[in-house]
Amino acid sequence: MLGRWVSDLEVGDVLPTVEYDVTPFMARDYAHSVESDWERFHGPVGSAAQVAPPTLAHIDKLRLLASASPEGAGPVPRMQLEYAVRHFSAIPVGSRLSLIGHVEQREARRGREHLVITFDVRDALTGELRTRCRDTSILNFVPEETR
Amino acid sequence: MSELWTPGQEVHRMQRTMTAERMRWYADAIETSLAGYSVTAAPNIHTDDEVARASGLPGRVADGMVSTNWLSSILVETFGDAYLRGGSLRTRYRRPITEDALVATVVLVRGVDEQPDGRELMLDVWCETPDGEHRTVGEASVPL
Repeated sequence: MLGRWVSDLEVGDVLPTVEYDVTPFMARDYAHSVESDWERFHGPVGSAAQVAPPTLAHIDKLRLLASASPEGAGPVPRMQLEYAVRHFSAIPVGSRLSLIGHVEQREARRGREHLVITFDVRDALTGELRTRCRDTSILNFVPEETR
Repeated sequence: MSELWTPGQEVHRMQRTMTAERMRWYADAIETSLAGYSVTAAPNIHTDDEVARASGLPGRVADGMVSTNWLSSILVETFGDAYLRGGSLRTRYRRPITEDALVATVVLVRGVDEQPDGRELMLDVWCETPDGEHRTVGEASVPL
């Protein structure tokens, strides 16, 4: 734990590493929720293994933030502004993943506090890089209509 | 494969309505993924109008990741393993998508980039409402 809330995070903070197992259910349920019927998210196809939807990286970010700041966003809502990922290899279900990240940037722009975190998703056993992510959120979100 | 793609070519265009059910499915999926078993999300700005209004929103709004997932699904279904093994996606949320908005999800070819380790197909991606406003915008790449 780095702070009570996500809004406590500062540039350079290293987020506590999180490890977890990707289950077939996780991949299938997540794909189902966004109506992706690509077969390999739902089960193996021939000799090709079932794999996790690549956007599960968003849940990986939430895992990291929950570990770093267990009480959530902070006194005001946090709103995601940008999602950016690069994929290096597919993630077969059954993999144990290791999430390693840090706070890259925190700055005020036009009255809004931006927080940028970057993290790697690696195979916990081999260290192979699966996905690299950069996420930007606004810590003190106020809708335009009410500003 | 690059000769198949020309700048300005639409890879795919998909229309869906952002219903309350779709917002709920994704909110529940987040909690379910975190827990590893089926969970119903507590009321939040994506599932409950009152909670959303208390945050200054006009009503419930879709999680930005719903539109990102729709774009990602097009990339996976079009390019398969090539996208999963070396692709990229960046999406930025310009304005929230509200309940019952009709949303067109679009992937368009920008061009082919020569990289030291091969060629990459560069794509513009966005989600737009019928008034032509791009609510989610971004770019993607896929190795060729």
